[in-house]
Formats: sequence, structure tokens, C-alpha cells
Amino acid sequence: MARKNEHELISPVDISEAPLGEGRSLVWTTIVIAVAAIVLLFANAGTLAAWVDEKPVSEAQQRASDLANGWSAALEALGVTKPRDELHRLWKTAQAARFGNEAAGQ
Amino acid sequence: MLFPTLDFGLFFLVAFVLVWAVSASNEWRKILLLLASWVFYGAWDWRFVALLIASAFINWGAARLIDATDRQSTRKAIVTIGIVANLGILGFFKYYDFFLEQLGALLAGWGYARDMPILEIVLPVGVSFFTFQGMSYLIDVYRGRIRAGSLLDITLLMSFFPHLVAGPIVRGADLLPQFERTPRLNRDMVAMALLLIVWGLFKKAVIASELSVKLVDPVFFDPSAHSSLDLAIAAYGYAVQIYCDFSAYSDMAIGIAALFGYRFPRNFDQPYRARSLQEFWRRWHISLSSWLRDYLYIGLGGNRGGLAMQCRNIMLTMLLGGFWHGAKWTFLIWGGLHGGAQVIETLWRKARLPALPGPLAIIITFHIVTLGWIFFRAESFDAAIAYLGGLVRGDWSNGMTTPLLAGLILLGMAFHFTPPSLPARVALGLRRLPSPVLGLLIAAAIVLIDAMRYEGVAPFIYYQF
Repeated sequence: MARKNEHELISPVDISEAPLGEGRSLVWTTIVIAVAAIVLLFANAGTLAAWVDEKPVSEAQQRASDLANGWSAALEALGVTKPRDELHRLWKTAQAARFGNEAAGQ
Repeated sequence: MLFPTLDFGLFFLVAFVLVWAVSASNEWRKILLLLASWVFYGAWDWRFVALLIASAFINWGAARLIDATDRQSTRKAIVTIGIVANLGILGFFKYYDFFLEQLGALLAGWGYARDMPILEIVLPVGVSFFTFQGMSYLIDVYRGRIRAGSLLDITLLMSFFPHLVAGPIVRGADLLPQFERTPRLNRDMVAMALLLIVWGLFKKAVIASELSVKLVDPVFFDPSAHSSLDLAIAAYGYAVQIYCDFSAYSDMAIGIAALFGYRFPRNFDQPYRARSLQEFWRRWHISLSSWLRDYLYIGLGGNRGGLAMQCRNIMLTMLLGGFWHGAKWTFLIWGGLHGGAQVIETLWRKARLPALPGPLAIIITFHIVTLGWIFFRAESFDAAIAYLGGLVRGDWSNGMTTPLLAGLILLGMAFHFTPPSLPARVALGLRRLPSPVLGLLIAAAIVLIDAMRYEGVAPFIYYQF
């Protein structure tokens, strides 16, 4: 049924009167997503290994786990995962901060 | 399959590549999107894919029959049967056990205790959303707002995975015209889509998860073990958690749909800056509140028939809106509280009493909403009353709130008072970046979120509805 309130019909993704790049936007988008995925494969290798380890155990899973953990260890040795690890350490420090003797959690 | 997981990330990558690869044919792209949606839904429970297909088939068939006849009485009979079928699905899966339990309690109270045939039915994820979507489609066809769509389009409308399990409730009138031809991307929508996805990821994985695990869940689990201050801060914490959780899902759903070229309407608009409950419902879960207004409140007569009828219609709409969330008395009370507050606002306005100053109106509205959230979150009516009792016990020691949790609550509230155009302005900047640079930025943001997120991802709150 017709809606009186036009703001309900507005999509948040329509942000300008003159959208940019109607022609080659799919290529642009694909490159954005591909670059992001590849960077994450390197910088977030530990998360990939943890994800594989959570899967039901099977022969294929074991092989994938060995590969993912080897990949993660190699990148850790190269220091590629260091920014993520350092950020995580900072976050844990923030989590541990207290006003007094409050418990927080579980 | 939850949005903020690697499972979904990989699923999305495959679906994105395949769907755009076949986009020379709009029919094939829709078929692939449909198959992807069934895989997505089947990841929870394959049995319910059949329910989804059956539901789509019923709505497609009923709409076709409505469209094929000019006789008003026949059209009305078909739309009624269609609505009853949708409500039958919803009622069976969501409310059957609840009503039998209430009947059993009632009979026991009268001295006729019986073993009721409770089925312990598993609730299909998203059933409230897709049945409401089906009903609005049928009513729109009946009212001549839209034409009946093809079986493929209707099945995809109801199954499309970004909105399938927790909304927004995207109406046929909004989405079916978009299915008519292959959509085209532009950098504006992609930049905003990526921003919404990353922003939603942050709100869910960092703010909502941290508040849930470290503050809200432990306090609501045993209110008697916590001080009044803990209870008060956990109530504020839940207000922020549910906003960050549900709006995160909507943001990601809108963003993911946009990466396939489809536009979903907005579902949230800084709800805690509302100056009244009526305004709150124009900013919170907009797709549901507008649905309730257009298909229920107006159907009941709206503001026609005098003030008493208007107040009755507001109360009925909000009570049923509360009950839509689940078969529990606490949801009815939550709906009743919102309805009652809106009735008072209506009477206030009709009596031409002066409006409250803006900041005071915002504070009062927010606290009524937060009071409602206590009933919404509590396991039972008794638990909610125990929680409220604890709030006035007067023990103001801090046993739970750390600087980080306090900061996250303040941050979640601060989002409501930023300029509404801020996300669009950021996206307008992002759209001009070279693609590798934007890819790097997105990856950096995800690494940052991953470093901060709580271990594991809890399901979205609205999955249970």
C-alpha cells in the first residue's frame, strides 16, 4: 500500500543526485573486495586458522588445519600479523581496566 | 550462517562472483540468488527451506488468483484465505505451544488439569519476517497497489538472503520493480554499502557482543545478585546492545543487498533521539512500524471514529506488535507499555497541553523505552518485576561496570547525536578513492574490528523472532 512518509522509501545507499561511475562500477567493486580479501588472508591469518580448527574433524579438515596453521605461523614469523596482535593486546588491556574492584562478565 | 563470520564471508564471495558472472541474463541471476538464499537458509535447518518455498507458493498463487478476477467478493475471499494461511504458519510455529500452555494453566485453575499436547515446535528462523512480507504483498495486490508477480520473483522476494532472517521487512512494492531488470552498480551505493557492512560489523561484534557478555547477560541472569547501580547500568547497556545488535543486522543487510544491486529502505534513524514514543517508532525498526501502521492500525480504523477508537487502535496495534516478537507475556507488556505511552501522548496533544522542552522530552522518552526493554529482555514477568524491585533497593555500589563498558554505552548513545548526514558524507569521500586503496581501508577496518571483537559471535537478538 502507498506510504505517506517518503523517508521510509529512501534507501541509505542513495547518497547523491549524481551517482559516480555508472559504467565501470562492477570492476571497481570487484577490485575493492578482492584487495580486501587478499589483505585479510595475510593480515588476519590467525582468524582463518581458528576458523578451520572449529570445523568438524575429518581428513580434509585436518589437512586444511595443517595448511592454515602453517600459513598463520609463517606470516607471524614475518611479522605480518603483528598489527592485529598488537591491537588485540591493547584491547585486552582496555578490557582489564577497572574503576575499583568491579568484576565484569561471566 | 551469521553475517559477521568467515562462513558467511566465503559464502558471500562465491555468491557475488557467480551472480554478477551470469548477470547478462536477469532470469539466471535471480535463479542463482534464489539458490544462494536457500543455501543460506538451509544452513540453519534444511527442513525449513520447504516451508519457505511453500509460503512463497501460497502467496504467489493467491496473488495470481486475486489478479485474475474482477469480482470484489472473490478477491476479498482469496486475500482473506491467503492471510489466514500466512497467520496459520506463524501461529502454528510460534504460538501453538504458548496458547496450549495458557489453556492448560487456565483449566488447572478451574480444577480441570489436563496434559496438553505440547509439541515443542522448533521455531523456523525469520518466520515472523517472511510471513509479514507475504501478507503485505497479498494485501498490496488486493488493493491494486502492485500487480501479481511471477513465481520466481515472489519466491526470491520472500527468500532473498540479506533480509530473510531478521528483516528489514522489504515490501513487494519496493523490491519487485527492482527484480524486473538486471540492476547496475554505481560507486555511491557500493561505497555506502561497504561502509554500512563495516559499521554494522563494529556495532555487532564489538559493542553489542561485549556489552552482552560482560554486563547485560550476567545481570539479567540473576538480578538479585547485583546492586541497583549494576541493574540500572545493565538496563542502559541493554538499550545500547539491542540497538547496536539489530541496527547492525539491518545495516549489513542493506549493504549486502546493495552489493548485488538492490536497494532496501532504511530501518533505523537514530531512535534514541526521539522526543516521543510516536517519534521513536518512526525511527526504530521502521519497516515493522510502518507495516503495523499501514496494514493493522489503518485497517482497524486508524484515527477515524473519534478519540476513543483511535486510542483503542493504538493499544491494539502495539499489543499485537509486541506479541509479534514472541509468545511471551513480557512481549505483550512491552507492547502495552509502548501503546499506553502513545495513548497518553495522543491525549496530551488533543488537550493542547504544552510540549516538553526538547532535551527533557528525549530523556523521558529514552527512559520509557529503557523501562520497556527490561520487560523485553527478562525471561519472565516475575524476573522483570524482580529486576525493577532491585532497581529501587538503593544499593549503589559498582560491581560490574568497567571503564570499557561505560565507554561503549556512551559511544552507543553518542551515535544518536551525530549529524544524520555523516555516513553519507563519509561514503561520498570513499567513492572517489582508487579501488585498491578502498580495499586496503576496508581490510584495515576489519582487522581492527577483529582485534576488538569478543571471542565467538552470538546470534543476532532478532533471529529469535
